[in-house]
Amino acid sequence: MIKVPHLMLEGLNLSLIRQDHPIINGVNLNVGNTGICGLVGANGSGKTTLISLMAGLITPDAGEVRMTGMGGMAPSPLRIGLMMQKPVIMRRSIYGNCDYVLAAQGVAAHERKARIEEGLALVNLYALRHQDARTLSSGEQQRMALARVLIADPGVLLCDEATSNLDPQSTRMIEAIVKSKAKDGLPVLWVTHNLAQLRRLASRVVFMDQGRVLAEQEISDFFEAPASKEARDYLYFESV
Amino acid sequence: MTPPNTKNGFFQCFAGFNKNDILSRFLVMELLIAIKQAFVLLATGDADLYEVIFLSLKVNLTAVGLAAAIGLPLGALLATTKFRGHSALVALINTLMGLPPVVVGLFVYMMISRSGPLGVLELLYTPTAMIVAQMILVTPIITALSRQALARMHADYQPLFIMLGLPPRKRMMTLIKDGWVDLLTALLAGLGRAMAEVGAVMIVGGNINHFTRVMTTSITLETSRGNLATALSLGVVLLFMTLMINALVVTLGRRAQHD
Repeated sequence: MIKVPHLMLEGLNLSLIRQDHPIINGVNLNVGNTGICGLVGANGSGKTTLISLMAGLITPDAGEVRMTGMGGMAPSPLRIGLMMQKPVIMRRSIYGNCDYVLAAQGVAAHERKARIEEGLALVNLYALRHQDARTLSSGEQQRMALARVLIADPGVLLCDEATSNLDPQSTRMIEAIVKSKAKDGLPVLWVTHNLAQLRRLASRVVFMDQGRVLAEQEISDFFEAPASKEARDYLYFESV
Repeated sequence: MTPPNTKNGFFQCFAGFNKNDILSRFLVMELLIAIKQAFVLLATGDADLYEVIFLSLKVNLTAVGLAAAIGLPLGALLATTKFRGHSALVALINTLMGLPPVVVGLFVYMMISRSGPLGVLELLYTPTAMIVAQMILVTPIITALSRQALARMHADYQPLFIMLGLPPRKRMMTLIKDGWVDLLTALLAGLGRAMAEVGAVMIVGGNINHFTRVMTTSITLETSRGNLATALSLGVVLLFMTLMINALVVTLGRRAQHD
């Protein structure tokens, strides 16, 4: 339904310092269209901050974020789709939430309608489209957020623990849609603590600790031979 | 307890009650009489009363409308942007919510009196002067309450705004559109303040019969004359008016939400 251009989001030597303490410390990260990239690490390791930097929500103190694949153009907020653990729910209907994003992009009204209906059908929310989005369950809200992101035709999708509060059914639905989009060539960065989910989705894993990237490996290599002691410890504590 | 001698019919209803109960009953009766009188005044179309009601509505609604035109965008601006002195300005506006009406009345009086800087406009003792005074009183209330409501919303919406790269004006418009219920509450709070206000409008309006007399100044006048029942009736009318305006605004709001 949505055409996905082949783009790559690059974070180059990103640093963020707060109260003389490096939150993100010289991180390089590529999110390309070679399968889903999993981002893992303990609480406070800087995953959410990194994803916020990549999405443009926070400006780095050093380094830059750029999107390549279309003539090395500068990152445009409109081309990055972000799914957060707690999605932004506007005080509108489901349809109104989706329509707002497309209207902000300047999409014509007739095209908006078609895209929204297609997007809501994809996440199985079409029947509820006129319902106030605030009255939805967590799972439905997250599915609406996914539809809202996808209909905006993102060049890259960043998901920050997008399914951490959801039931297995909603989780699997979101996973299936994201996996399918990644298969179609949409670059995806997926932050999670769920190792089983990481195995199901990711083809590549980036491990963070104390604001630094300590391991970047293929998924099988990461589980069999983690590239750092911290990653080994993390896997041990997450699996016991 | 031995009941008092209740041969007199009027006191019959107080039989078996102590002094405090009798006093309470008197007050309730006074209130009931006032309510009845208020509805009689309204129903019989008392010209003087309706003149006062219409002037009150004109002054208060105009003042709240003007205050909203300033306060809502200002509240939205303060909710969506940070700048040097932002916190100080917010603190100042919060403080101005408690402006004493007589001080505002005095300030406006000094500005528009013949010897004041705006004396040439000849606004003293006119409804316009009353509107200006009311507007000064109400604007900080609408600004502070709308800022508070919209700031909460802005914190929720901000990631989406940033991702969409929306300029401040569009953010403000979105917040005002989505937060209209909260803003309505701010407007009603402002209207409540305006409807109840007496000090400032008395100073700058002068309570001139058939020209600047409004509900609150009428009540003050009738009380000073000793016409407590009439004053109380006017009070009931004032309460009724406030209730009707609130009901109307809430109904319109609900209808708009469903549309």
